Amino acid sequence: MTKKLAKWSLKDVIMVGITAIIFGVIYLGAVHLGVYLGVLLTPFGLAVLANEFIFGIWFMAAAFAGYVIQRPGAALITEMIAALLEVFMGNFYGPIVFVSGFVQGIGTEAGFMSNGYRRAGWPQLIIGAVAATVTSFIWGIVRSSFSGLQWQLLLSIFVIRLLSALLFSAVLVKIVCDRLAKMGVLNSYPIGTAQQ
Amino acid sequence: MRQLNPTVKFSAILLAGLIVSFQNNLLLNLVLLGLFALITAVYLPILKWLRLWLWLSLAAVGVFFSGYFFLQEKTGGGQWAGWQLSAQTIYGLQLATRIYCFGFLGASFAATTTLTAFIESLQQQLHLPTQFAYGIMAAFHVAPLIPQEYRQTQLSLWSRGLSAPWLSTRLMTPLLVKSVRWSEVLATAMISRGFTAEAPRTHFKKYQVQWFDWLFFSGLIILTIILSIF
Repeated sequence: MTKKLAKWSLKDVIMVGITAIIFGVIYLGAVHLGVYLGVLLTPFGLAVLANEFIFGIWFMAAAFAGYVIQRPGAALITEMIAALLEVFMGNFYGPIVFVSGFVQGIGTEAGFMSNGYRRAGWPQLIIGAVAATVTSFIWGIVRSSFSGLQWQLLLSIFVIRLLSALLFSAVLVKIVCDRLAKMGVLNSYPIGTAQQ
Repeated sequence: MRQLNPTVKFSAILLAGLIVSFQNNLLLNLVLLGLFALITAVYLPILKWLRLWLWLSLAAVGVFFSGYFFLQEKTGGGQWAGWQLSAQTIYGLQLATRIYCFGFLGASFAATTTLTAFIESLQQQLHLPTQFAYGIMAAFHVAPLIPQEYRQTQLSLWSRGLSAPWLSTRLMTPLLVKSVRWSEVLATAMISRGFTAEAPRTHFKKYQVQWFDWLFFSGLIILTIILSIF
């Protein structure tokens, strides 16, 4: 593990770190919205759904890094760094967030792993979004002990999270990355050279 | 808590959180809640501590009602500490106390550890590669620039009579361009000042694992295991 990590360049580490923070800041903004929405939904017992609409933003840093850097472990490591930074940026759930980061990163990573990290495109991003939804859903059930809930509610959690993941971590990431690549900003990364 | 080794503290809290995750134990949740609420009360300013209660309560109340209304098996119920509770209430309470439990466990870590200390300790105890250690710290200190940059992009769009919703690509693209540029500039600056990942390093502050670290680790884990069994 340490040897594989040692191959990363400083520039890449800082890049994924800053990306993780950008999505983290955006997410923190969204969390406030999520809390208000959750309070509104509380009387119906549906507060657990509030965060699901924006859940895909969590996967964005991993999808972005995996898509741009296209290297084994990029998505996973980025998501872990994002979780680590989040703990110090004021996410009060602390160390347990690290497990969530690992679980979500593994899911997103699966998409890029599916074709041996050769080329990343729509299929990889979509597989990643679906896999991250599945892994984070399973972990969510364990962490929040949702196994006793009615299956209808669990199904709606899953479907909303899946749609959110597809929208944010597949569609939005793809659009933004391709635009950046066209601008020439990403020329020093695999995605930039692939697009020319 | 401040004197504890950050890596050991992190592992102990993480492990305790995992033990809580894999069972439905109201007593365990309540004991950890009480214990770590007290610990955070020592280290957090009172207003911050109360605000933590408020945020956690908002989340916990929501989850309580989700558990209350949508429990699969609504029959049954039981006695708990002399009170007659329905199955719905018990399940709701199990979910809600878990939120508090994670919240206070996490807050006790964040309130007593700085990123720098944690990274230094990860480097010394777990051999985190140097470029990660300093790369993450560099990225962390860029954070205050991001809201500023976001605001600037927003204003420049407005001045041209354009508007953009909160996650639109119009706002995201400039931010991500900046993140790539910043990382290049920062990395170049660090390397030009002699940063290398391979060279052996000495540390200004040495982090060691001492007896009270083991005491905290084993104490917390043994407590959670005992409460899990009974």
